[in-house]
Amino acid sequence: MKKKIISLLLATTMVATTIVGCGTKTDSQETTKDATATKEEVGEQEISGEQVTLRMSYWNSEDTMSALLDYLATAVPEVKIEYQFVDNDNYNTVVDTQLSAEEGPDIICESPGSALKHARLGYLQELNYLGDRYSDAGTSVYSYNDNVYALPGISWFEGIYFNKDLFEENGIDLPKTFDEYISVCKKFQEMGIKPLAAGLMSWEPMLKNSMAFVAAEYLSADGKDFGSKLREGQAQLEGTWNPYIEKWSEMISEGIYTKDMLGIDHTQAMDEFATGKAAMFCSGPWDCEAIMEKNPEMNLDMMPFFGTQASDGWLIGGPGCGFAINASSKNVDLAKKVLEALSTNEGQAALWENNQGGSSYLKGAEFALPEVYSSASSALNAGNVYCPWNEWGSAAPAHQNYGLEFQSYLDGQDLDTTLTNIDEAIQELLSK
Amino acid sequence: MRNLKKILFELIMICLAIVWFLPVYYLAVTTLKTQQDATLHPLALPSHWEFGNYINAWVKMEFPRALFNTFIITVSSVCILIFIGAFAGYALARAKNKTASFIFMLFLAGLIVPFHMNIISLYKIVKNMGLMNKLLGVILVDVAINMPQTIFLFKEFIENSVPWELEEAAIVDGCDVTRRVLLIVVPLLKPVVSTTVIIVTLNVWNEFMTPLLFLQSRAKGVILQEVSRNIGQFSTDWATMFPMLMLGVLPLIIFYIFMQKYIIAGVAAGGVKG
Amino acid sequence: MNKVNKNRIGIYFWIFIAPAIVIYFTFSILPFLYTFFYSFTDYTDMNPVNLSWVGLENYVTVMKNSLMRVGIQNSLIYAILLTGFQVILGLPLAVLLDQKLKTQNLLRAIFFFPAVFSSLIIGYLWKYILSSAESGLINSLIVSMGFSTVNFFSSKFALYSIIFTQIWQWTGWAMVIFLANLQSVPLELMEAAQLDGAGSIKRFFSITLPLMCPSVKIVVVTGLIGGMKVFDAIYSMTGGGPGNATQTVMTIMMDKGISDGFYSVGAAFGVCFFVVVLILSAVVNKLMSKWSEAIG
Repeated sequence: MKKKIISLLLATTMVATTIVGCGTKTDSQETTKDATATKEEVGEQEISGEQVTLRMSYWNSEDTMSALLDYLATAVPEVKIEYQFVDNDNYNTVVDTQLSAEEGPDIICESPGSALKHARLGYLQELNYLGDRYSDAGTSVYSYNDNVYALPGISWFEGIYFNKDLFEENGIDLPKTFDEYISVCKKFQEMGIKPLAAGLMSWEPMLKNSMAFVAAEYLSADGKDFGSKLREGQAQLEGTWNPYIEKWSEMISEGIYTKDMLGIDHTQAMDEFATGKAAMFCSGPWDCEAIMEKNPEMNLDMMPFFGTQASDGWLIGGPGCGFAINASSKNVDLAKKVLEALSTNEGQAALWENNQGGSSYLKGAEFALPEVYSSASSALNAGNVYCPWNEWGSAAPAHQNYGLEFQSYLDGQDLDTTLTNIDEAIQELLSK
Repeated sequence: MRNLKKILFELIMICLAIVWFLPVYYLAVTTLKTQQDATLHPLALPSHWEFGNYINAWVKMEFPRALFNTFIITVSSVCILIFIGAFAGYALARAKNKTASFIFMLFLAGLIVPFHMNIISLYKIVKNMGLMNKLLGVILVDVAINMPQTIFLFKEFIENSVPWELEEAAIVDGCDVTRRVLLIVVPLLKPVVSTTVIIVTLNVWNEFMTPLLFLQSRAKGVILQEVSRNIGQFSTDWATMFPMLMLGVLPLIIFYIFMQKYIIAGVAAGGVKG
Repeated sequence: MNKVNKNRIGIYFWIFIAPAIVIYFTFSILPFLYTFFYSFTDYTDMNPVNLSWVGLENYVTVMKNSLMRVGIQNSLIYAILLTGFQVILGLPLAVLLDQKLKTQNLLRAIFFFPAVFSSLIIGYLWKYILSSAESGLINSLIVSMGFSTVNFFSSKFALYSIIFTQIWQWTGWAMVIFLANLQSVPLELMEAAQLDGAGSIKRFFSITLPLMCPSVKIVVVTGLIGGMKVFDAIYSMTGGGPGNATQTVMTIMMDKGISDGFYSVGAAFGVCFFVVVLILSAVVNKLMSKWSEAIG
């Protein structure tokens, strides 16, 4: 045993000496490079045979794409899709570093903000001929200089899920305005039922909830050009949004959003709702399956958000993740083939399978709205689905700052500071 | 009286240890229950043992593959570090001049540099060397991260516990440096090697950022990456995650149970000398 | 025959140290130099290629930025509290477990156990345990005792909750280092003190504590450096929230410096941080040496 170790050490010393003997660092680099390169060749032959592997990255787990991946396997048999999941917090970091090192995935799922950035930097393949198959409402958020750089996925929307039984049993009618909504919440509070379950440990719920109110009150009316002005650096939240947020703050002053909720995460809030401890829960189609799984008896429905005036209501939402092709991919043509297969009725149906409720932007592809969204159908039909920060251009990532500042706002920070801080974050991003 | 006091004292310590252990117990016991059981009686033993969670987690995280990759990365890093650390530590311990102490300071400074600060440039270097998406890339980066500590441990150990006089005797007999190192120094390094094995194993096994950045394909992924897959954009799937956390730490627990004595002794040795 | 001089191994010094230097230079020093260079340029994700020299502009941005001050402050609080408690709790624990007990080894093993895990996993676990939802273990206990729920992750408490979990994780580690130190304390000294009739507490302060200087120094220096660099624990429990209440240097560096694409500002922040920690560890080292001199 001892002899063995000694001879092993001797051998390695010799190797080390020879490397040093060669002198420079680059030599040793090259040897490792060669060694790994040959390994790689062998590996590829073994695994893929005829198939070419394309890498696709996304911030949601593989389950949320399973039907599409199955469909693509049969529709484009020469391609094997390797799914790279990166959690949302690290997604930009990982994809940006990969792209800048020309090591990016072949097919990239983009948010409107990241698509714009990557298109500007020339990382993305222009996809106009496929973009024509989609409606402008879908492709506009993924366009830059009149070129389409990503194909819109099934739309997403967020409204207020509610437990129908709890409303009916207690004789509570659905609200039609924000004030009615507040009084509905109060009624539930009086009965000892939590009106709204919310996992405010995440910065997303209050972002969407408050923006939906501002959308109904201002952005869809007097403030139609607010987003485009903000993008040009000519509009600010502070001084503009104050009256609307002040009104919306009844959500906090009436104890619907509480400081305690800052210690609850999204899943735990969903549990409260699914087990009947809370009457409402803000979310979208992505959670429907999980809610029903936790409580198959649940009588589930969704209502939109409201402004102070009676309306069809508003939902926060927009085109789902955009499918883009990395311009420096070695297999651009095959990647196009994949996206072509996606841009068919069958492809959209497979994508819809795991996103039931959303609508497709592909011209001619229509899917029936599942029953669970019936009370939100008026808003959907009126086209009142709106995602304000999609219009913010390169300041779009500031919606996260918005959400974080609202956590501080709930915890006692005053409104002016909150909005000023968000404006600063927007300025910083625009100045890049 | 003295005895009674002692027993009482031991009992108090045991109670404290139980409280200390509670979170780990909670993690373990929750994974073996149905969700309802877990919410109703969080700390009780399961009313019936539910192993389905583990089977799910095992399949979902492709456990054998993830374990294999983690294992390869850890073992390779440890081996490389011991080899490099022994020689570099010896060199630094025996050469008492300005160059040597400058190089040693350079290594020590590495203890302070946070890894995250250099991500962008490191990424370019790894890419240019063609090491992207290769276990070797992660191994080399992990080796570099753990090198300052390793070299420090070996240098201090050789300086304090391998007397130069031993070698002087060998020099008289006409031994050259290589033979002295292999025949005299290496056999004496056992304590510091075991310390290094333990500290580096824990560090590399628990490293999240390097695999996340440098391994793209799932086939190359490690255990912690699989665990983090349950963190969706909106929600975390706790029901699946808990058994995965458990599976993720199980190999370390086994390592710990078998190596417990050495681990504690090793950390202690590394600590006091380090 | 080799002559014994200052460098006792001649050219072999370079041969032996070469592999270490090659790897360390490529994967640690070179990236650091790059980062240092970037900190003087206008490198962002929108401007990745044509870098131009901007002098100290990024450093000015860092100094002006209030978030980065919050980050340094939180990291300092974290590092100091965690290290302090590691010493305050670990030292007595080590003294207690140094006594001959039947369950001595088992007890040591249990207290050390959490240190085996990744901080990431510990973070996820505690996030669930401390949650203010009814499924949160601690809060369900509090509620069952008839109190109302406590939000451990509010702006006020979140940082301290995280520190608490890390104290739980790392006290055992410190304890083990202290134990090793204790075992090197000569028995005669202790026995002599006992004969003098010194009580056990007095004995601890007058004899044990001064002799623990080396291990305390290790725990304090490594604890402070590690604490300043904390990332995994924050990332898995709060991600810096709520608001910016638990942002630390590393989470800000990841968010702003990398994720949001302000690469050069992030680099400057990193360099500043490096200098701060360098000074901090030098100062602590000095203080600890003074302490040991004063005793010695």
